[in-house]
Amino acid sequence: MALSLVFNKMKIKYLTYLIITLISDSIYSQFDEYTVKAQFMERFTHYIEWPEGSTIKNQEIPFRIGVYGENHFENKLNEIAELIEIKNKKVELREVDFKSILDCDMLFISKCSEEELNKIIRIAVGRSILLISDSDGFGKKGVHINFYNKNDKINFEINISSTRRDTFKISSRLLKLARIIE
Amino acid sequence: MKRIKDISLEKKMIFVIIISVLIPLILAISVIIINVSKFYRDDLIDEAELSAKIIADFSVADIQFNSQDISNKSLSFIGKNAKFLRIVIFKENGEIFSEFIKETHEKNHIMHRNENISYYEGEYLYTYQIIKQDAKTFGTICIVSSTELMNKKIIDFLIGAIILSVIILFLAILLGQKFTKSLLIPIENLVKKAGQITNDASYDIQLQKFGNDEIGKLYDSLNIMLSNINERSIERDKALNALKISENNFKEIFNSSHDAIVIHDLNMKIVDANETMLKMFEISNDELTNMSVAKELSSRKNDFDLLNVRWQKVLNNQPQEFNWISKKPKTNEEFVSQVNIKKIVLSDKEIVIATIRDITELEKANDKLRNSENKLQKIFDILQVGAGLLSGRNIVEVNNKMCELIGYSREELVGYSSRKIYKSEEHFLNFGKIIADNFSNIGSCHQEVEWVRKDGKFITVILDLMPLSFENSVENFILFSFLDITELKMAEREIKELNSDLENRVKERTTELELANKELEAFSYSVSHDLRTPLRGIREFSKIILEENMQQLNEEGKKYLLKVINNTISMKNLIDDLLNFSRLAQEKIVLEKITMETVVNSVINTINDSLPNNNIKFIVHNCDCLINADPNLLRIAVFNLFSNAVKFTSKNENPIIEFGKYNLSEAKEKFGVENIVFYIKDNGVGFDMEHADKLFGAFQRFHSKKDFEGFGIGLATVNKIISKHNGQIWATSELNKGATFFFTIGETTNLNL
Repeated sequence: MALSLVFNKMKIKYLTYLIITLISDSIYSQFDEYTVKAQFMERFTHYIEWPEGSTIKNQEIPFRIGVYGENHFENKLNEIAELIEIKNKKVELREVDFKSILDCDMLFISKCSEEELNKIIRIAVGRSILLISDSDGFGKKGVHINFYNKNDKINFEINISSTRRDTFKISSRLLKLARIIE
Repeated sequence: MKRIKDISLEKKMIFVIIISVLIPLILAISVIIINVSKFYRDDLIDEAELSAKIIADFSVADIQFNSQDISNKSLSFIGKNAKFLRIVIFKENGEIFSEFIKETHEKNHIMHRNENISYYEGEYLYTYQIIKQDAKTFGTICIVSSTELMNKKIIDFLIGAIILSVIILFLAILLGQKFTKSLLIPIENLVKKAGQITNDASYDIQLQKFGNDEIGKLYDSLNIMLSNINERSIERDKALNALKISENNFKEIFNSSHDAIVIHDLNMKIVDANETMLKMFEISNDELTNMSVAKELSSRKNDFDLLNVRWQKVLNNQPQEFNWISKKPKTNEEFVSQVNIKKIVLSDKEIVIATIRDITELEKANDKLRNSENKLQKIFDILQVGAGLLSGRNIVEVNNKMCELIGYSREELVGYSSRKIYKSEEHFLNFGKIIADNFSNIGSCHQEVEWVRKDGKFITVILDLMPLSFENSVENFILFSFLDITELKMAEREIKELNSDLENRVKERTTELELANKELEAFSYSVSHDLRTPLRGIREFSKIILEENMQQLNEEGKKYLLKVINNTISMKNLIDDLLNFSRLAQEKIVLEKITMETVVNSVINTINDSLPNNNIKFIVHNCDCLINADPNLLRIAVFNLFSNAVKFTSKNENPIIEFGKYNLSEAKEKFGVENIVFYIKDNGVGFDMEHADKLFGAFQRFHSKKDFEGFGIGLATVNKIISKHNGQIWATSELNKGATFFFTIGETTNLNL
């Protein structure tokens, strides 16, 4: 069985992903916080439409995920990036600074100063970059989606003002699950 | 089955109605219930599946983002549907992710399935739906639905249907009863009537029908059938009656027949016989049964072998008729009988019927008849006129004389049409018409007709025909006889020819004679007339010579000259007479009414004037009768007669001349003449009666000229005048004793009468 699978690359990929997700789901509680967050980030892309005019539909450019600041994901994002496609494109993962913020489609902002955040937001405004963070209060400050913990469960909030401003279309199903910040 | 047959029609009908309403109703309700429950079950499945799909769709994000609370909320919202008792979302590993359960529902173990399926188990519907997005499986939804509500609806529907069925059934029975009644009443009536008809055996009733449906038609048909049966039964009764009568009649006829009738079986054994038979043979019925016609009842003189042959023929359907000498068994008296034997089928049984007729008397009569016939035939043949008998126009009988006259033999005539003795078809047909006309007008026919003999000669016959009808014969016979008048006819024809020839010759001669007479008259007239002029010359010149040359003539000469003059005078008189005579022939008489007396007196005066000193005594008897005559001619005639009398009395010394007449009665008595007759009588010399027929011819003289002057023309003139007046003249005389002339004038009327 394993031999026949070797010949079909697509099937192997799919199977591997299935195994991983199965494993990951089954041992959900044992995963650490950032694994869940990485999974959530990938799942977000299913419920969010990037603005018109962004490079998201350009098949030559991969889906670029940037991490700003301290990378808590370690290899977890890489693993995902290598295995899956987002928006039918290959995924490229990079750690970014201010200069390279613009080369991202999705940017995870780790804990940083308010100044830094403001600067990033200023740069990212109107640039079709989905901003995600996991710091209290960041949601209110203009980050599009912000993780928070409640009853030992990872939840998220969505700043619909920001998303509206940056013309991201967010599925109601996602909005239903999120805490909404006006 | 027998019981069902015995149930009344009404109950059967209602039973049929119930069955026919119930079965389809139950079937319909069953089908509907099945369909409805299937519909409800499918509907429930559809609803549950739809709900499951919606939940699945909504739950992807919940599972992805691990939002159990929100998922529970969503489920409880869906769970408000009364049909859903429990909704469970399993994660992929079978772990329950979220769940909704009704308070009323018991929380049992629920199985996890990784497939899309719906199934009923117990009173629940289990619906599983895999939660999927972008070919990725997130878990399974299970909805447990209650069937209670559905079942309740089905039961409600069932109850409604049953109630409706009951109502329909009730209505159907109600209506059915009504229709059944309208159907059954006529039938019951029919049953009743039929029973009545059967009991009474009377078919002269008619059924009152209730409507025009099939039963109505049945009624009509039954009525027709009834009337037919009725007619037939009447006819049958009539026929039975007729049969009875005919049987009686037959028996009567059978017994009253003048002929003896014997019925045999095929073995010549007597079966039955009529009374005449018993009388004829003077036996009783019982005696007869042991006898046989061929033995006890027959004379031994008969030919019994022939009888057997005849019997066989009869059996072969050839009826036989023959004479037979029968015998009366008791007296042994024999008699001649005529027997008819014939085989017939009576009531499917073959019998032989024999009729026996005593023909002794008949035979005697026949002999007489034959004798008389022979006599008649002989008379017929001996007749010396042709005779025969026709039927229509066909010859039935001819006698010998006819054959002799016609030239055909008897065989050539009898049986043929009489056409062969006629000249042509036309003659034949025309004579047929003449016969028919005569028969219808005078009942017989007497005609002359021309026939043709066998040798082609024509003969003329006088044919007498008379219709003759015999008794017992439809044919119309005609009896005829004829006389051959061919020779008579030829003689007659010759006489006719001669007569007509003679007449023609007489006519010719008469015309010739008349012509000659006329020529003669014209000749004598012209001769006389032309003679007068030279005669006058002679006389006048002689006179002149006598007067002027008196002296130169001697006595002798004077004497001769005087003679010349006298002769010329006498010649002149003769010529005048001749002229008058011939003029008479040419002159036309002009009739006037005159009296004879005046004529006679005038004549006597003239005579007295011309002969003065005569001693003649004229006696005129009463003659004053009126005559229709030409006065001048009559005067000439009378004058001539008187001068004639004067002349022939001149030798008498006492001449007497009488004139008179005989009246009608006297004339008739004396002369047989129907007219007044005048006469003139003298006592002169008279004449010989031998010459009486020549008396009135011209230039006839009976006396010498020396004795009496005259040329013999006077009486001819008289005759002519009298005949011109359609009169007659004749005379009687004795020599030397005088003569009497008698005459009549056409129209004479006696004035005295």
